[in-house]
Amino acid sequence: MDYRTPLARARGLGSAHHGSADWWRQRLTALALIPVGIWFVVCLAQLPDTDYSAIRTWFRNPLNTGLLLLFAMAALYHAALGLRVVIEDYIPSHPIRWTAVILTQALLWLTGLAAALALLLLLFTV
Amino acid sequence: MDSDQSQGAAQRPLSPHLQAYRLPLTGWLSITHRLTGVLLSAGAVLMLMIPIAALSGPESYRQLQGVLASVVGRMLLWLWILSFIFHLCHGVRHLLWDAGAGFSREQLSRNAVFELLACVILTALVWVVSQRLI
Repeated sequence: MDYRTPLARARGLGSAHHGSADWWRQRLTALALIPVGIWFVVCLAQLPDTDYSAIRTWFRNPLNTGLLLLFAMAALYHAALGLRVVIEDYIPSHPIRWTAVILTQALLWLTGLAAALALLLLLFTV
Repeated sequence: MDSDQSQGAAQRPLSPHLQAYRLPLTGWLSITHRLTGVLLSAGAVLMLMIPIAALSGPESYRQLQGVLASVVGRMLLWLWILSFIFHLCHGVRHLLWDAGAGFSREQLSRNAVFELLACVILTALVWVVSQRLI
C-alpha cells in the first residue's frame, strides 16, 4: 500500500525529502578521485623538493592544470557532501548545525574558486 | 523544548559502551575513515592555497617551501598522504558494499586486513614513485 500523496510520488524524494542525488554524486566523485587523487599525492610527495622556477614551469603545463582542476572540483565537492553528513551527525542544535553547514560549504566553494582562478592565472600569465 | 533536553540529559545515567566493550576492527576502520575525511578536507583547503602562493613571487614561495621541507612539514605532508590512501582504500570497500558485495562476516574480517595491507603498500608505492625510483 503506497501512502504517498501524488505530489510526493512525482517528486520521488523519499521520507527525508532529500532524494538520492547526493548519495550518487558522493560515489561519482569518489570514483573520479581514485585515479586523480593518486596522481595528486604523487605530485604532492615531490612538492617539498620543488623550487620556485620548477613549480612555475609545472603550472604552465595545461595537462597539470586540467588534472589539478579536476582534483580540486571532485575533492571539494566530495568533502562538502561528507562534511555535511558529519556536521549533521554531531550537532544537535538546529541553528548551530545549519550555520556550520553553510559556513563549511561557503569555505569549500571559495577555496575552489580561488584555486581555479590561481591555476588559470599561472597557466596564462607570465 | 531544547533547554529541557539539555538540562535533563546531564542527570540521566548513560550505559557504558566504549569503556566496557572492545570495538571490532571494522568499527575502528569506520571511525578512522570519518576522521581522515575531516583531516583531508582541512588539508585540501590549505593545499589548494599553494597555487596562490606560487603567484605571490619567488621570495614568499621560498618561505613556503622552507616550511614544507622542514621535518615537521614533511611529516604533516606524509600524514595527509597516508590519510588520503587510507581513506581511499576504505572508500573502495564502501563502493564494493554499495555494489552489494563483501557483507558476510568472514569477508568483512578478511577484507579489513586486506585494506590495511593495501594502505601500507600503496603509501610505499607513492613514496617510491615520488622519489623517481621507478
